[in-house]
Amino acid sequence: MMSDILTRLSAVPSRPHGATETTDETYDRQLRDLVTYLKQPGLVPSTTDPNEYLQVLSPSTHSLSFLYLLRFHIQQAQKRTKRDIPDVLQPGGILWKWAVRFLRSFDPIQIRYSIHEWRQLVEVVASAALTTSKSFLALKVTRDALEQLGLCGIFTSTHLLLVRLALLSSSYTYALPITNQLLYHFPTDADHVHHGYLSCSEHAPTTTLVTNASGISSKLTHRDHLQYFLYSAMIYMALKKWDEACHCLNAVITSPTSNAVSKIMVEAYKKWILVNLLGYGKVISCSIVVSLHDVGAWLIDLNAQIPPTSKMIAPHVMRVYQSVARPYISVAEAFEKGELQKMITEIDLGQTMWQADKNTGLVSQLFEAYDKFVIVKLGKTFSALTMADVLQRTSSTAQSPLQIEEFVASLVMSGALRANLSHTPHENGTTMLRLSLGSRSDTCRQEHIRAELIRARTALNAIAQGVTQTDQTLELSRENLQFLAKSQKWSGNSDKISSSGEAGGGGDIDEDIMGDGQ
Amino acid sequence: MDLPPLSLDQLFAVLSTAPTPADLYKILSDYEEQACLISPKEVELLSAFYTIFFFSHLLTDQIEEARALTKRMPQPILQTDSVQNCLLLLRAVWQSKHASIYKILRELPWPERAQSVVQSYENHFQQKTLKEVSNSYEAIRPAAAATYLGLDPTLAQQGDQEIIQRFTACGWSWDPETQLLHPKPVVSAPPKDNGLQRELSRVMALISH
Amino acid sequence: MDLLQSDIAEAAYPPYATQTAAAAGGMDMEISNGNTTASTGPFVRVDDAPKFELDSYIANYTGRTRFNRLYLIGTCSTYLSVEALKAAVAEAKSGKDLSRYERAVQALAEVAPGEAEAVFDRQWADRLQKVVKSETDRLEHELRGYKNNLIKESIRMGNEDLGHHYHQTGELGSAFKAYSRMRDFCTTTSHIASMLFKVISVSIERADWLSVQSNVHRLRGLQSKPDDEQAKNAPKISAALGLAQLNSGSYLEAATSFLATEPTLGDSYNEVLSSNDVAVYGGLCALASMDRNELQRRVLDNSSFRNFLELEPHIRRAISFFCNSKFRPCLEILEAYRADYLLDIHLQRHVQTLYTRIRTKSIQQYLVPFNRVSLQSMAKIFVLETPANQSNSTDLNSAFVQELIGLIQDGTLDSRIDLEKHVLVSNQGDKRIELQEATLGSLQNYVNEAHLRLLRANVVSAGLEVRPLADDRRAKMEERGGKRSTIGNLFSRVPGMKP
Repeated sequence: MMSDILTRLSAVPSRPHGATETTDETYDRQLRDLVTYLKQPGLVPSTTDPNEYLQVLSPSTHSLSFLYLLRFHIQQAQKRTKRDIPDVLQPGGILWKWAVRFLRSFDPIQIRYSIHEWRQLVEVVASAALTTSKSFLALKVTRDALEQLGLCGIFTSTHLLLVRLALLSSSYTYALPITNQLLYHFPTDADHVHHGYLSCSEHAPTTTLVTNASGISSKLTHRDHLQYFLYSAMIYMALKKWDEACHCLNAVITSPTSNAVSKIMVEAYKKWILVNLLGYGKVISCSIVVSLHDVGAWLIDLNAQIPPTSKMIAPHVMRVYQSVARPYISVAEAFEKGELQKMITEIDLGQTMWQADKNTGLVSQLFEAYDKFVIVKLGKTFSALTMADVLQRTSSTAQSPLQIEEFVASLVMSGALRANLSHTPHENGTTMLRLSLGSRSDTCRQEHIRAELIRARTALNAIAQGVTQTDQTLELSRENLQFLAKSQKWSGNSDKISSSGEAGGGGDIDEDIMGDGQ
Repeated sequence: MDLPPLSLDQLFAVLSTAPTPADLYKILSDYEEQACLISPKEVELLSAFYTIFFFSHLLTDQIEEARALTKRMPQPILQTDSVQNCLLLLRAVWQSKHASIYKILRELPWPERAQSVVQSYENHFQQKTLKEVSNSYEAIRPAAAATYLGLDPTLAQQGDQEIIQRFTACGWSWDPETQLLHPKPVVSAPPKDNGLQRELSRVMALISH
Repeated sequence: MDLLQSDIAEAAYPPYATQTAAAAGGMDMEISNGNTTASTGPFVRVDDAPKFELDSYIANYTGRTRFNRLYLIGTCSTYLSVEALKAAVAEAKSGKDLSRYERAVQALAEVAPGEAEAVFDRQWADRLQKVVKSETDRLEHELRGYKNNLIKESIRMGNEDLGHHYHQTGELGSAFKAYSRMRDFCTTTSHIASMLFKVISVSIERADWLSVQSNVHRLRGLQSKPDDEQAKNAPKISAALGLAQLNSGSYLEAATSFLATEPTLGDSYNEVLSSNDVAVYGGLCALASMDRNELQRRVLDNSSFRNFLELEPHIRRAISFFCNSKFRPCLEILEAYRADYLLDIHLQRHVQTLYTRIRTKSIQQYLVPFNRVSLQSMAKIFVLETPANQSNSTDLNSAFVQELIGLIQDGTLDSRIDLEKHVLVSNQGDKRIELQEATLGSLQNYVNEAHLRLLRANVVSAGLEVRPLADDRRAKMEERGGKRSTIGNLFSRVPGMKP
């Protein structure tokens, strides 16, 4: 009995890379048959010991069979205990162990045939970890599973799950392999996609496989991708990677809108101001305007030329940002103008807002950043000056020449300030700060350029791929696109009337959205 | 594929066999899940694990993540002496207080079996600072240099030959006239690559179009 | 902030125009629009003695500008106040503008209450008021008569007489209207030209520079038949335009206009400005706005303008010094005449700006040939105070170093200060490295932006853009109503998200 089932279960092993014994067509059919077989009820008796089969099957060669068996056991256990997370599924439990092992070693090609079940497993594991307050345990598994699946640039609900887990467990570096990938695609509705690839083909672009129908992601709303980028940015902020944080926040604040602004966008805008100050000492202007109607036209000549400045925030969105983030803007103005006292006053005034927005941590870092950029700015005016001069020229929070020297030295030594220091001969003599114009030393620069180029090349490749994929998706449905552009215009008008009414009475629905007029 | 279960012996075996700090960090981060599943009552094991894991962060210059680690440790472990020492060290490193860093590393009671990792961090920090000072100062008073490197500043100021020699051994020069040390910039040999320049100019051409 | 203040300053009229402008009522808008000038407020106090003799100075002018100039000198110069105000009182008493008399007497009473002229002559004033009133009535009455008879020429002349009368009595708004009304009844181009000059004259007095400019352009557009008339008008037109441009802060354009003014101007426009003024205004504007080559070619080598410069030889010397890179003597000349220019009715509000520009240009020019210059040697040229102060003029806190810092920070100087060796070092970075870094920067921007655009396009195509509540609620209902994925939704609410 068991051996019969086992024969069926292990009938379709995963194909090694580049194998040609089985054609795509045959393999496709075999996998489809297998899924049909696995889906029939009562495949194995409910009394079976989970280990019995799972031990024999390899999660990497018989991924589909393993997944369905595991799923079966999980459902059995849930049914038996009438709990969503039975003990065996809790971290350390037997089913947990099998699930973790599976998620780290499954065959991504086979899983394409049951991606919905795959996602459910990830979510079950995550919720098992969460219910036992061990979100950390789900973080690395989720990351490994996502990496294993190898979605190129496609955003799914699992991505959002991952960054949530990272924030909840305050472990940030582990999430970077995923957040560092450029995401630009979303699961599409199946009828948009019209392609000649079989799911099991190694050459099939992943976008053609990932449809809403496949269940790769739970139903997405705008909140999901906004939150993903906001949370990613928060991960980078915790690691003080301001460039990356800023880029993620840009993705949120420039997100397309139709007559509404999400609260998430406003939150992102507030953080965006602070991150700009912390990372660059100034708010890099982005009063960016593109009307929604242009988007359709722009899509079509996406390949033609990308304008040099990002002008992507609609004016009405900008107005909302500016009115809601007023205290942040005041702080930024004082910071940029070098008015320390005013900045301190503004920061004091805004305490309740920083707390409510959970930005107290970022705000408290402003002081050090202020001191740092005051000194960096000195380099534009002076090529050499003593520490006493520095102290005199800067209204920093440091008080004594010794304090400022310690601070400046730490800036120079960490590479944040391009300069060198020189003690003068006498005891208790002065310290000269020589600010160099040219950046790092030559060799450092070479290294820097190399790293930057490699990074840019990878990113450019990803972008190029994304553009091609987007073209494919859109080219095949240009009619659809035009319809889209039209319907947006249309809905834009009608919403104006409805949204104001809703905003008043609809408070209980969702505090996430703000009407246009506010 | 499965790691041997985490135990004190296994932990120290890993510590003594990991070839580089990066490897140590990698292996220990794989163990973090196991550590999560171990009952917080096993204070000795967990405290040792988190202490060493913390140092592996510092050794790979991941200060921010080291801080994050201290935030996600189980509460009882956070109260142990050695983890408390880690917190003190973290704060000193965060604020680049060189003198305190050496003091914490040398004078606080670290667990016997963690001594090796403490020692290697001291070396790592010293080397790193030496390089930073060499590239940042054109001339430096011996006392200041000694403070950066955890040597005795008073002796250094008196022109102690042994200390001066430690610096001259690094290629620095000593000017007895001015009583100043002149550091020699540390140049890490760049891998020669002509393709790099070529590629950059290609990109430049591309962008200008 | 500065901008705001200068806006406010713009709205303030020069003291002599205040009352008339208020009287002009409906014309206010036009005035405040036209008055796009000025950095300093109207009240300036000049304690230094000017170089000019008041008598010979005022003898250069005729007409109403005499009073305006005297009054300005009298209220601004502590040194000349009594003399100038007494002359102003006399000037007012010889005219028909009562408000001027009142102001002059009041100003004089403040500085020298003991003077006989400081006592208000009530009798004379009452008599004047009556005369003016009856004259106004008579002229208005006559004009009505002409209008009824529909004789164009008479209407024109009636308006002209009335305009002249209003102008004389200081009702500038009414004068402007009356002169403007002549327009429809002018039959020859010389009539139009004469009318436009009158309008310009009133506009200058009202400091309505926009109107000056537009009427100058009308004058230019006229094709007057007799060539000699055009030749006579051309220099006045250039000078009036230059004045308007100077007052709107367009110094290069003003310089160009003054430089184009022909020396035949002579004393033909003394009711507005003298040839000396053309030399000073044109010279200073050129110094402030042209480079050395231009100054040499367009000013010093300009044989026509040379005639003006001969009237004010120090201006010529200052320009020559500048062209020969002798900046200190150039600046010293200007400094010596600062008091004079601060007492000039048209220059007063521009002296500071012009001087600062000339000084900044001098510093820039001085630095051109050097990679590094010692602060000491710069101070020798640019610190004009007594040598006693020069010893510490290269300190971080000295006014001169602070000035340099300001120039560096506003991007005027591409240099940096070395307080170790006390030199100013020009920023000559490695161009190749700069280019490479800029390239890397733009490469990263390019990638980032491409990503954002791509993301944006796909957000729209997936229908995931931010929508108002109505849509959103529908989407949510669908999600709820749809099949519930086993446990997935458990963590849609995660408490206490904190970085």
